[in-house]
Amino acid sequence: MKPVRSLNLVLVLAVVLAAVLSLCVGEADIGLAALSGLFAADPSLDTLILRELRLPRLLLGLLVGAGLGGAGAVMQGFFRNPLADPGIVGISASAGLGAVAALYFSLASLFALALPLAGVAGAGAGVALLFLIAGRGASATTLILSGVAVNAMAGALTALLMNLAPNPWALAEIAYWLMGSLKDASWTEVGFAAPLVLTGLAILATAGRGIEALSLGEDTARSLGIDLGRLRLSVVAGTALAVGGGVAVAGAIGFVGLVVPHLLRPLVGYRPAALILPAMLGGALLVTLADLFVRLISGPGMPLYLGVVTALLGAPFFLWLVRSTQKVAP
Amino acid sequence: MSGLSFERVDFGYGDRLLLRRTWLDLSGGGLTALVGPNGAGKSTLLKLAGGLLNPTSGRVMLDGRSLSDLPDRERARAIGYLAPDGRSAWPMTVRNIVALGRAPWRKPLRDLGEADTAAIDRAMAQTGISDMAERRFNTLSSGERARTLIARTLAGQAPLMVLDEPTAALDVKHQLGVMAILQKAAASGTQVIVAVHALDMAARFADRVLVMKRGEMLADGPPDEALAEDVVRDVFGVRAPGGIAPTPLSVDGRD
Repeated sequence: MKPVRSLNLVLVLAVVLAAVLSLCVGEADIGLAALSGLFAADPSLDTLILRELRLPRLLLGLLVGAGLGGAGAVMQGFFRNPLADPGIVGISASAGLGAVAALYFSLASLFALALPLAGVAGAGAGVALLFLIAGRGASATTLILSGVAVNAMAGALTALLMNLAPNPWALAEIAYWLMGSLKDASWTEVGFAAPLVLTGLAILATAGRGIEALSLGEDTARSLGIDLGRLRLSVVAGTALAVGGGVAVAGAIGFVGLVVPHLLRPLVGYRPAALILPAMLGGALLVTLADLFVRLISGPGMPLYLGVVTALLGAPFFLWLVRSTQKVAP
Repeated sequence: MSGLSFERVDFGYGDRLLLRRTWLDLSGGGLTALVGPNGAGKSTLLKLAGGLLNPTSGRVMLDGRSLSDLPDRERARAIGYLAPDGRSAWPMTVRNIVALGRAPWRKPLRDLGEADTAAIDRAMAQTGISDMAERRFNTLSSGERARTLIARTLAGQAPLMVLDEPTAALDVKHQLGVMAILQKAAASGTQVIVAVHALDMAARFADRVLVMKRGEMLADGPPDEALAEDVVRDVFGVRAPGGIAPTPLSVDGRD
């Protein structure tokens, strides 16, 4: 138990460091001194930039990352499969579909929470569909194929909405938004995402005992007193809230839920329950660092999208992971 | 003393009954071996005994209460169940696998308590795996895996233990080892019900033998009666002059 606790401590420190770095880096050169005036009544320009631009962007990144990392860890534990990532099995795409539908039908203008809620609903539908096709304890092949089906379905419907988009601006807006980015983050987005993602994280955290017992199979888990129906419900609800809430405001940021749990798993002795919290912290760390990287390399005329960067890094990793899991388990 | 009983239990899917009109009283303690040819319904009976299946008709009772009415956690504390396929999805350490047995006793989001640690240590000592606590499950031999999973079941400290073929993939020496562990557990007060294929092992270690064929209980009694020549011939289609004799084998101390 002790090594896990120190791992969490290290990750918390790393997140804090990355957060400070993220606040200081950007087009305007701002020292930490500006932080002191954060709650001042007449803030300086530097403080304003921090308060209205960088801080919400940082917080949104932390939320989105924690949601993806935590959801990845719990899904992998539940499916007993290291390839179960919210992006790969189509949850992010389903959340995106929900959000695009909300944009398309202008639900977002009806009431403010419509967009994130539509994202959550989409993600929930995606997970439910995945469970329906793949079933519990599906083989790696079945799971991935089911994910391909969910992805294809969500992609097709999203494409349909884009196809029918009323004007090119709406189309461009949807297309850019789907790439995934934190660049337009404001306190409004944080306000939308935070309650949903945090609720999702809390639900995911309760799945630990269940997914740990599932390591030895379904019958063993049930004999240990785990209610699999209830566990499935919390995996669906937790994933939908944690992933859907984030995707709805930041777009699809891929592979975080795959890479982070995989890298941290050996450090917690491969225990599914012990992995959940570190994966949340690691996800927050990775997204913050990736966003920092994106800001550093994109010039004023060439904004690079965060989702594009994580996908470029994550896809080869996924390929390698598929090959290595095939070698271990036939 | 835990009292588990089957009261006219049927189990099946549609018209096909896997278990028929089964009456069974499992309250006597000791080690009970369950034998029968493949497809006899042994696994079904054990899953019903573990509360993992609910009878199609009839009742499985535990201490006067129907098993299907018990809350999951309470049932898990009363009955330990060992599934037939001994695999782990993740290469956890032996100790962490054994710790899974404490799940029915644990509070959410809490570390293992003193009672948990003591139960885990005891289970590992009982099965002789204390010195491999930090080894990873995927690096173990099949004998070591079997002992780890039995320790996992023992760690729950349930008064009743149901094991589905823990000796299935083991060579004779490891079979003897596993049966000796179960015999010791039974001697210290745990009621043990174990499905086995090797009849001579059942004859040697069991206090009571249940013989099943095609979903029906054909014999129930001490080994020399339940494994008599005529029973063995009718059930298994095998000739055993004089009935099944207990295996004369024992583990040689030298390695």
